[in-house]
Amino acid sequence: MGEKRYVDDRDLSVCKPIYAVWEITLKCDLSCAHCGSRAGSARVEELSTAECLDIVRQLAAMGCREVTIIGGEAYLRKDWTTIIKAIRDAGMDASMTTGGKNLTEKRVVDAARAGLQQVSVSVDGLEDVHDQIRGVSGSYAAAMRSIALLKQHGIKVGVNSQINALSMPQLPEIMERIIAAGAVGWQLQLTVAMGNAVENPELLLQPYELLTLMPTLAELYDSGTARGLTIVPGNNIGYFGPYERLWRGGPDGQGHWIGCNAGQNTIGLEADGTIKGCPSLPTAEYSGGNIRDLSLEEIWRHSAALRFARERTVDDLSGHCRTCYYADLCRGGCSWTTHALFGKPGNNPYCHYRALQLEKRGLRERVVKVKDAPGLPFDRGEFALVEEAIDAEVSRPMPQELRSPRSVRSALTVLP
Amino acid sequence: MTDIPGRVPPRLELCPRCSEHIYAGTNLCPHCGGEVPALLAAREEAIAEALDALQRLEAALALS
Repeated sequence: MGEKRYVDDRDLSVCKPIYAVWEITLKCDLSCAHCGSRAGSARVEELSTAECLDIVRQLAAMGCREVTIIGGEAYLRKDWTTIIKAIRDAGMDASMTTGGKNLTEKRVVDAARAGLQQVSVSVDGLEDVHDQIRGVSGSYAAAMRSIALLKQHGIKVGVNSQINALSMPQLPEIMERIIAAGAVGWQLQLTVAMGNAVENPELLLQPYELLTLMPTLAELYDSGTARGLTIVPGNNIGYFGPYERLWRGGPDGQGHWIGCNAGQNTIGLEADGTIKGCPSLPTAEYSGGNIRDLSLEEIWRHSAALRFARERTVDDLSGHCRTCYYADLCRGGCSWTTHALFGKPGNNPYCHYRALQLEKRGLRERVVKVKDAPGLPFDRGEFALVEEAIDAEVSRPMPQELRSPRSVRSALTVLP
Repeated sequence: MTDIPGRVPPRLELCPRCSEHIYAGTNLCPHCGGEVPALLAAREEAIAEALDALQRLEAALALS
């Protein structure tokens, strides 16, 4: 349970959507400063219950093994437990990612009864930072209460955390709190310049800050493992260098990053039926089509927007990634992280190995916002990449008042 | 549905000296400059010696 999403060589030899991440609604009870989808109110024409159940059937028929429902906030959809039950009845694992703001005991009981097996609760800092990032007072307390409730009702519970300028100094204490609360897994991910995060560029880590972050994470990994907490790296944590074995070595120590899996064994679904190779990718450039127009298999098989990672070669890379020793294997790390910054994947400054190589030459990289995002779900701005002396005297602005604008998207949507 | 062929990526190994990831068949580690075949041979020899010592220790303990 919760492990069916992981793929082996036999899975990799065939492109099929083994792991699906499904935004079942964009309605949300939080207002997060980093939210890529700018969630708040529901999308126009979200899928009906019947359409959702048909998607479950199609996913199972294509060999999907695990579905993670997300939002927005998945539990704000009235039929969310009907969808969970259908996923389980079709033989797939069901998991959920949540902020937990209004995850009441009744909701937990209903979800457990429907067959929900695993939940990842978002905790992005200690109370002050978490509530500031999540934009709602009391959201930290609600998240911690959710962890306890889920554990109490027999649902395996983990935590996911954004790593950014505000949360990074708090990571050791966050780990203490979530271990005490009963979490058994902790997924970490760098905050990416998408959606609301574009309005808060000072929140983003600078690439050179990986030189400080990664040794810290390695210490936490060892400490957490000894106390029953498994730290799992998100797809934008890496790549190679001295700690790769910790993140991805697996039981035999032989595992490592093998490149972006979008559209190969991973699929993302938006609440209005838009299909992407990965749920986080920008909608405008990575929509492979809509489930109301084509079958899931037709989109999966024929859409160029889903095939991009299957067909990527070293020739598609640029910058330091193109000449990197690991280029043919890594292919630029996380496509989402890089596309959100520069409008195309394949040149990823958020790489520990790359930061170490530059450090040896007395250099570092910094990203600078040059253009705002239009204000739509899963949109992006534009960033420039600056290479400079590692001791360059450039101040690092810290976030002050965080912004989570919804005005443009809200004007386009209707409340359900 | 008929299969869509996927990419099975190459599996990396660890340099016996610096423990950084290297491609299989690498002669000279791009990270530390170590001669990989010679380092692997030396490691195999050290493991064999250690196993031999362990067996002799176990035999000695069995006799005592």
